[in-house]
Amino acid sequence: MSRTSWTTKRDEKNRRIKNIAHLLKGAILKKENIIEALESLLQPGDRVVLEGDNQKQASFLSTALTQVNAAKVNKLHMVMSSISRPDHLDIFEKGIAQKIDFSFSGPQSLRVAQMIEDGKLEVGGIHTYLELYGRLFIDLIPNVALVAADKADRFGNLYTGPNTEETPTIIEATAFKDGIVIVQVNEIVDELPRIDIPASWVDVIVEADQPYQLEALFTRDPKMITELQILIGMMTIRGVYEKHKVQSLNHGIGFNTAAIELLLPTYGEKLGLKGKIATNWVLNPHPTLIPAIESGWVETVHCFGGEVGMEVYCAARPDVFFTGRDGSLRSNRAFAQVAGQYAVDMFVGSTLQMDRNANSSTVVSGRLAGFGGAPNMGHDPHGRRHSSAAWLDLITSDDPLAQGRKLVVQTFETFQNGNTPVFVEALDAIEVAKQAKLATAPIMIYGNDVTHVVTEEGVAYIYKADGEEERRQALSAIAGVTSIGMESSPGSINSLREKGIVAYPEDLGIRRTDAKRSLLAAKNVQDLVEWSGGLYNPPAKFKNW
Amino acid sequence: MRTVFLFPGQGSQHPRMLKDYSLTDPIVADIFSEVEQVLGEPVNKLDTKERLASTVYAQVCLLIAGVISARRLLSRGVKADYVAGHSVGAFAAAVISGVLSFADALKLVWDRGTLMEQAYPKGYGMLAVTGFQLPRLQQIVNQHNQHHSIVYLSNINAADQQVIAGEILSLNALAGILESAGIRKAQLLNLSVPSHCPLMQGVSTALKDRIAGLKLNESLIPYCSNYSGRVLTKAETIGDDLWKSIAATVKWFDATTLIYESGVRIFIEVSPSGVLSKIAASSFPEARILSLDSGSLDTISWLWHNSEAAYR
Repeated sequence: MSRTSWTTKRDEKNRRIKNIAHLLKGAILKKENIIEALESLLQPGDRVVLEGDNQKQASFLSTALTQVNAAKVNKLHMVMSSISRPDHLDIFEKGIAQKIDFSFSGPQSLRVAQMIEDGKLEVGGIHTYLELYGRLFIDLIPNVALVAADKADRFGNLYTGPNTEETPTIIEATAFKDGIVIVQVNEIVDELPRIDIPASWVDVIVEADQPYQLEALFTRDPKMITELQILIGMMTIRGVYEKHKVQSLNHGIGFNTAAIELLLPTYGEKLGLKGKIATNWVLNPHPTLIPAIESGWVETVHCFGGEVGMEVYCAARPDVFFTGRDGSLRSNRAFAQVAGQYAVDMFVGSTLQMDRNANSSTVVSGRLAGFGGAPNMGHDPHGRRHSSAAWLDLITSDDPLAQGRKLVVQTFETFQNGNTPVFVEALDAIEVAKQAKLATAPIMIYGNDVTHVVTEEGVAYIYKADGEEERRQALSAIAGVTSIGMESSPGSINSLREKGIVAYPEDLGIRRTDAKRSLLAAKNVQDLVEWSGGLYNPPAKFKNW
Repeated sequence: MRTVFLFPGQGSQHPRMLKDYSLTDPIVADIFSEVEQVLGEPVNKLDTKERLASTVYAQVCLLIAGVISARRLLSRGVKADYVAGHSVGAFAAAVISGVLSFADALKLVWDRGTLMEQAYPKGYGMLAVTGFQLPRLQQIVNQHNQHHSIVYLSNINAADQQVIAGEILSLNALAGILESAGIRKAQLLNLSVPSHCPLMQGVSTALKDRIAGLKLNESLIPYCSNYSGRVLTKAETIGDDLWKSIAATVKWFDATTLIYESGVRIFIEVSPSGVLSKIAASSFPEARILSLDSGSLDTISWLWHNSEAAYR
């Protein structure tokens, strides 16, 4: 039997576009016609990608989507890397959308949990970023994409600028499978600074009433860094970066890693490590990296997205950052995520809870926050072939076929907020999985991927441990006065230190009393601005001097 | 940028708390005359030190102050996208939402307070604890309950602030256990009634009957539920919340987090303000918290109009 048509998707797309032909001038749609257009372009049951990651949001389109008539547009299956805005859930309350596949929902984590419990939100899956991006090309192929760009020209070419992020990935999966690509832009101009997306990938462009929502998420004020975090940073630099000669890496977004960024040009310099460690990064443009860049530590940085206030600085440092011909930063979240998972030697992050087997989670009871970038980064993808010094240094056997390992490092203080232990008997994630009826507990980083754990007590080289029991003992030896830490005995600690499975500050030549804030290359945001020669322009809420 | 009015519950009352309301303000005059009609006493007899020691008068005065101060804010053009009342504060919230008339609320609160006071005259109380996240606290309470008279989680106010209700002897023992586990603070509250737990089932049932006999109006402002931690918009479910919540945990942290996630960035606590502002400030450091008694009505309205405009 032969099919009657091989172009059903394309025909359907053409039919829908034709229905709004009277509203279009070329690809340009007037903003006052967006709701009418959406009601024609979207059909019940469509799979729709609404762009929004943890920074950049297609806010005009998400608001418009809440205003369509639910009698005409309903049962949508949303695919979104981040549930961030109230709008994103309002469309479910209003019956416009029914099902969702997503990665991160931190800013809406309670409402998501409640709506699942109340049967208002059907979850297809909670994915890591790379799984979600990958499935846009497999079984979550979009019918319609609603995305954001900075500028368009009258032909429909797009400039996405420093905050390119996921836009190319989403559009690629939609445009080349006969989906409809609808883009909100901040302005339509005669000439674009550069073309990030060609016009032939785009169907509808609408100039929004205000710029898309963009938040500064990766700015950490050095003022908040504690001396305990500095001590942990010093141990991590000596005991991990220096020991394994780590050159390519990704950092999490916490204060622990911000401390390390600010210790490189001071403490790291004193150790003579410049040029030997931490040269090639995949990282958002963290303002706390400015002193390391300015003192010549950093060769390259590829970015997931931009960071508010860092635009001019990045544009002025094209030797370090990826930039376009126009000079501005080019980010690409999907490529950065791939690089962070597969290409770098090390991930360093932090967590709120860790169990005896080094499984970690930032899940809080009664909330469903999904995942950020850490599950991809904090994961050893095995199967790698390139043989960097750090990768090879983690081989622990004489087997001629032995593989190296990616370094997955967790750094944290044994107690958060003074009295909540990070080391716990059982992760809250297990209970949350039961409450929300999830197929798997929302673990951020699996213990078997973790190679090092660093606390204010010391470094546990758990990749070296022989068997589960020794791994647990190593964790216990750096778990301080938490209940897990109280289990360790002086005998076992000595033996672990002799074997090099645990190192305390004195084993690394570090005096606890040396961990002073005076070691930070910048002590506050104003210092960062000075380091940048005035090129970094922090958002108002960080301008506290 | 959305705004919520927060209505405080028991513990926030203080002697002569109604003395500054002037009868020249028609909002005040209306409420005061309704109070006198319903209770047969002038308002200035209700907020004395002696009377406020009673649950009944404390709750009644909180209702009066809550409704008057919220109406005065509304009359200055301050807009509420949500109302949220803590415990008895929920009745003032329901009045401002439009669901309950003030006179009906007053009778209900009078009855509620009376029934509560009669239900457990002695030997019961409430323990406020600060410093542990809920799963850890819950685990310790569960263990404690295997060997002591059962105590109940009555309020979840913030991620690390809860209240536990039950027999005082048992609460004292629990406080000792929590202190040795390293909790920051465990303190018996000056309350003789074990509110918001199954010990209040009788009160809850009696209130249910009374509310069933009332005519509820359509809600004009979405209302935050104590019982479910949800936002409610239907008169009937708001009515249910008012009787259910007296015998169940107050999910204040959930309710306020939900509206924060829904876009609330301005929290205004109406009179007598302070307690809920502090909780909100600790839970939502990036939000604007306005405590009505921290300035004049003019100042607070001006601050609201300013913050609102800045975010629009």
